[in-house]
Amino acid sequence: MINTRQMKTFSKWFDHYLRWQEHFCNTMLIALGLAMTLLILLQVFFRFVVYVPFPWSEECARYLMIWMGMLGSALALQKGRHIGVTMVMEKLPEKWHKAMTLFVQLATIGFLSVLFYQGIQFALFNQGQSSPALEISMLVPYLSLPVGSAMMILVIAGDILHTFFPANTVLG
Amino acid sequence: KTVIKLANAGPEAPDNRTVKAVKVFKYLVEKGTNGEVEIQAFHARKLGDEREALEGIRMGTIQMGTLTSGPVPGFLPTVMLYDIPFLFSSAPAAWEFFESKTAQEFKEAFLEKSGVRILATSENGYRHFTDTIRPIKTPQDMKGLKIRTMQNPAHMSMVKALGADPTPLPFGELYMALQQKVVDGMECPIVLINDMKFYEVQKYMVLDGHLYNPLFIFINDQFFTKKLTPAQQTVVLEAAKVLARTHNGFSQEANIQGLSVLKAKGMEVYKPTLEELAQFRALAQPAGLEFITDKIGKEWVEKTLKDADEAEKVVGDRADAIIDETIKYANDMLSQVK
Amino acid sequence: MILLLCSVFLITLILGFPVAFCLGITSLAALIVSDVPLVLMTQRLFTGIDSFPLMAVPFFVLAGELMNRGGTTRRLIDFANVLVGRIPGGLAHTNILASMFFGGISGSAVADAAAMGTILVPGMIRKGFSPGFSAAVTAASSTMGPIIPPSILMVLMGVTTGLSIGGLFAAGIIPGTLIGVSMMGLSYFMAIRYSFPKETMALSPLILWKEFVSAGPALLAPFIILGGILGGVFTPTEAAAIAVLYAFILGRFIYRELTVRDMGDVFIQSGITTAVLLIIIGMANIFAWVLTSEQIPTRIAQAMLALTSNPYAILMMINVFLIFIGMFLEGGAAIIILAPTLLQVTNAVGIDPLHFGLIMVLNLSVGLLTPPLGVCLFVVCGVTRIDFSVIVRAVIPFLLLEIGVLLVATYFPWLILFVPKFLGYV
Ligand code: NA
Ligand code: NA
Repeated sequence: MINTRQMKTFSKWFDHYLRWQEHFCNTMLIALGLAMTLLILLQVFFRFVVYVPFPWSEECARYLMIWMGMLGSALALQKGRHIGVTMVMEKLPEKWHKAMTLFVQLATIGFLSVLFYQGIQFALFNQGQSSPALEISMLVPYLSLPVGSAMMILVIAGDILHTFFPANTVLG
Repeated sequence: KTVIKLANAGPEAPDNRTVKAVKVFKYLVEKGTNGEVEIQAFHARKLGDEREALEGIRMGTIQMGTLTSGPVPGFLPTVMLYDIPFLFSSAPAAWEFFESKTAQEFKEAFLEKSGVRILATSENGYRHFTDTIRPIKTPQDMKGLKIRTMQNPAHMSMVKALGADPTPLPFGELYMALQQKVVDGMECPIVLINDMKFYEVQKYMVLDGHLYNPLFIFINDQFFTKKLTPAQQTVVLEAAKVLARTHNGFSQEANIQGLSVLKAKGMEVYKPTLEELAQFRALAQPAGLEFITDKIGKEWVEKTLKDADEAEKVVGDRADAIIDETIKYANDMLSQVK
Repeated sequence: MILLLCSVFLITLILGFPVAFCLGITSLAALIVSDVPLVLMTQRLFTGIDSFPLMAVPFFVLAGELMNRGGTTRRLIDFANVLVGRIPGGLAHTNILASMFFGGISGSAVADAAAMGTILVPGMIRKGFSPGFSAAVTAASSTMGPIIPPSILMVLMGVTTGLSIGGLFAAGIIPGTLIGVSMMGLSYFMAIRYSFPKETMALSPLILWKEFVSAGPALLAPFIILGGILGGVFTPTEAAAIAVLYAFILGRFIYRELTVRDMGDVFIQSGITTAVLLIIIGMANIFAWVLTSEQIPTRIAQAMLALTSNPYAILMMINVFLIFIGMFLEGGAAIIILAPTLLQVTNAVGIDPLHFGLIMVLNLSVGLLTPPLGVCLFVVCGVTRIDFSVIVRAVIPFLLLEIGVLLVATYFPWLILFVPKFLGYV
């Protein structure tokens, strides 16, 4: 049997990982946002200033936006920024609230696991397909879905772990 | 009871060519299988755009589709053989080519690569140039015009060879881009100009027919071979051939009607002479061929040109007669359904 | 099946799942029951957000954040304040007017809500408006985006039904203006009734000039964007990217308040805001597939025609139905799924197709304000971080007002068809 102390250590270690994940997503959001903006600005520039069409800029920017959506979702989950109706739950007594929160967390993990598994399947199934303009494997954009889902699963798992085995360190 | 979900990207008007042809198909399949196979048609991109639909057919979330070649190069570049500029001098020549050995080899290659069977090939239509700046009669008139193309490098190189500036834009933004003059012109089939109301934002059209787009009738092969009995397979295959032919007929009819609508809406339509067409061809075809040979190899290009030539000979000077005959056939089939 | 969809969705919603996951879980349940390969979910989620016009969202959010951090917003508000701050409800009027102007540039309500929510709401709250009212007037006025041309929804409508897009654009002018003017009236009335604080500072030509000079470069932004689009230099989505560039130049080089450190945070914050929206739109795209594939819209249309053939009654039913649908579906998705079916219904009873098209766009714009899935409410909620239920309560008067305009447009078709007729579209 794993004892409570070991779990707390694990919880602490897990927190460290999640902190790294948050940092990674932050960095990626900066990079993706910057790249998207520059691409579309260059697209305008190439078309109207130097008269050279730039056929893949739009597609590339779209794929960057999708990665932004998935990584940003994980970050939003971490920061409690997703939008939901919390009015009803907040009115429940403390004990019920806790139980229902756990249920919601587990169900969300379940749903995201389906999305993760199907995302992997989908990405692998289509890796032979190349994108219309960039002519890269569709694996690259499609992988954003399982990666984002996995990160979201880890965030929720970290929350659950934290509820039962609070780590000693307080993370900001 | 087996259900076939069929995806189509075109609009859902009751008198639309694909809506009518699919109606005939539905009737034939359901009658031929005593109602054991049901066709559910989803028009107007309800099940997703063309790339999404083709992916869906591959994955088995959708069973069938009537889709253009647009999303195909992502799966198999060989389909670019249909992107050779000025490949067919008439629609019946193209229809003849669809039955050729090369077309058959392409279908087999696609089935092997993607797991999707092409039951039959029909017409999406000739693509023509339109613009708002000046009437185009020869390639010289295209100099400096910003022409919207698909995100297809073959099309872009061809437009460039004709002297214009190719500007790839997503189809969804095209109407607004034309209205706001982000681009001067575009190229697409007559039926589409009509469906999308592009005549509201374009003034001139030249009937140059630089490309002839096919429309493929796809089916998921696993579904076709495993879920349908051999007898049902025959019914679906035969009905798909009828679908292709009726669609050819309705498409030609829609072209004739569409052209008169465009004229009535104030578009100036120019039909180039044979010499003017030759000028277009002389510039566009080598550029297209160079690009396409690079992508799909010399062998495919040569086979295609040879079989296209054969098809031209078979049709000879009977093109107009074949068109009339096919239009009549399509309407006869439809009246059977009603 | 309809029962399953409704119950799963409502239960997950009440349990407090994020709306995106409510949509996802409901669709998952339906796909399992009807034995569709689950890989469909991933595909639809992807294609739902794989859209170029959608990219206006992150760009306008980004531009808004940049204008906030770079001192641009503050200067705009100061100038607006000098102009209309002394009228009761001053900044609310600025907000509405700005949205009408914005609507004339952009085709997207979401982009407007994001931009105005970031730029104007903090200022309104600082000036003493209640957070709820500030957010509500922003969300409500942003719905003019798809009604005043150009409009992404109208383009979608024209493309899926074959209606004239130019005609739809023309039809939107009068109802759009009507909504704007009546909202200003409502704000004026509410400002007096609830005595929102009013500026009392002295006004002299010198002060006006000083604030004008200070805000001048920022005031130029809409002209650059509008001029760029109308002059054919860029598409609306590209205009959004230009707005980012311009906001950056203002904050960094003109007002010099934007630091490199700020920039990182700007990208992160706007990235999260964007992601929250994208994930909802993506999940709604799975949901839309389920509805279509079950042929639910078609069945509803048949049921409608079985009830009555009176055009006024049909239009009323369509209004009620679409407002209900707007609670659960994103506008673009609703058009793709429902417009062809409903057009068949209205054609069957002899309603002008353009009239129907505009009513549908109006309805779906109202849907942007109706919970649970009111996209503009979410956007404003997301960018201002004001509590969702507070915004919902405050938006009700505006919602009723818009429904009022919708009813006027439904039963006085000439009001809609006047401009298209004048321009020769009918
Ligand atoms: Na607008
Ligand atoms: Na506003």
